[in-house]
Amino acid sequence: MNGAAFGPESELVPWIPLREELMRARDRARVQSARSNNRPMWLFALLAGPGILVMLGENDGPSMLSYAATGASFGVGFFIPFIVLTFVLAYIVQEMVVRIGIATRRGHAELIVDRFGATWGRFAMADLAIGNLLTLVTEFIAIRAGTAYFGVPPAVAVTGAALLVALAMCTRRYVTWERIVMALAVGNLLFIPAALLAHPDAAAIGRALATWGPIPGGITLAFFTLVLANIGATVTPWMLFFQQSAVVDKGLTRADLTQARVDTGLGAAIAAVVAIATIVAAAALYTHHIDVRTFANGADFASALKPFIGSTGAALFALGMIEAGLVAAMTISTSSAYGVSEVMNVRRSLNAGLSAARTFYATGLLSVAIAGGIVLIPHAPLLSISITVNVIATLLMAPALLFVLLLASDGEIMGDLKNSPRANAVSGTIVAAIALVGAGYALTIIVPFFTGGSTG
Amino acid sequence: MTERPVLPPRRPITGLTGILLVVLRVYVFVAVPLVVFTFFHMLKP
Repeated sequence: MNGAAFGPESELVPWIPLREELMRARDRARVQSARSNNRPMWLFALLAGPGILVMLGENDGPSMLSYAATGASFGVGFFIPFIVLTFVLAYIVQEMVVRIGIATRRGHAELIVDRFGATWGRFAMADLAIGNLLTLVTEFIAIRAGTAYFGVPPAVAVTGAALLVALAMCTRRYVTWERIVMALAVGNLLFIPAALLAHPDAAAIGRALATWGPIPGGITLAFFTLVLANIGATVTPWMLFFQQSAVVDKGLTRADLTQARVDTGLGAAIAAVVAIATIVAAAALYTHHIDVRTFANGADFASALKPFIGSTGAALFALGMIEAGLVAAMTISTSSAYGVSEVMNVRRSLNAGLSAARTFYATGLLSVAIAGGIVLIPHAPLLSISITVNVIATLLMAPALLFVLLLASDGEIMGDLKNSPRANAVSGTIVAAIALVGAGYALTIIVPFFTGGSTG
Repeated sequence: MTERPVLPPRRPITGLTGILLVVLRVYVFVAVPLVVFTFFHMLKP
């Protein structure tokens, strides 16, 4: 798709760039200006976005619940350094995706079709679309639960959130969409003051970082399940599709690789700090021996934390849950739009006009409408959907990661940006470990259903 | 600046990539029914 108006006398027909190409060229002119005027901070401000958004987007409703459950069940021992490790893993995976996007200037789904054929492309599209739709449901569950803490009726909360997601997507400017989502993502930091209001024991946190302990109760099935859930909360398939497509839509080039890496690293660092803050805040429940096994959503945690972190802290916690769901709804619906449009080979850009990229916008908006609608169905099996989302995301992680590894190692498309043998060994080990752990986590949820045990 | 590079034509998949894709195909054939079955099992009251 190059937007050229070719005809029988093509040499006489002027080249008419597509709207998205014009917008991207305008953004690139700003980048060039910042680079030539040697303004590194402004340059970074212009280029940052996909990395921070993908990492903070992954600090979504279910992930924050997982971190809260971790803090409430095990305190601030093993899991604080473990969270640091999981975000290092997330950085390694996402950095490969950034390189692939910059080297090929193609989205993840499009590249899978290009290199492995339409069947694998359609599989990638289907697993992304279905997994994302179910994940979107859980984001709206988080929004609904968080707003319920403030007494907002579910219909108002879900409809308002869906409209906000839709309006941001329909700005027809990638940069505007990105800045709106980044402004909302600042709300992820609300978990930090909530943690400070819990008056955490700094010495205990320092000890945890140094010793990876303690693990109260030893290594049990519940502990193992939370280890797997926390890995599942850090690396998921939509992140791969979203960041690669966003890098392409933003128009990043090889010259921007350093800033793109810093963007991803900074996003991972902020997301890790917020995840740790959530564990620290919820650890107040562990200290006071509150049983959280029946807690189903963020509002339950906020209410339970109120006696220990005060009404302000609890309100911050609930607001953080709303933000987590909202930002993730924006990034995940956009990743669906990119993925489906790439496999169908139709126009795909947040810079495109609404009528010019109907499939792209329809996919994003429809997924939001369906997910929001499901959450509002009376007696909908929301808990079953939440659990199934984890199973699907973890099971589908293996194929998604394998494709990343195969693409990043392909010298024909990557050129000198391809994985070095050493990087391949490291990332291959990580991919295998995440895939195995993901499958293990899925089994810990699936097996009890067939053996009549508890789902945990 | 941001033009898309022309990628070389796709070649037949062989070697380690081919083996990994066969493994992946087996994985998908096991995982997908498992996911579908689990989902409907969980929907039961």
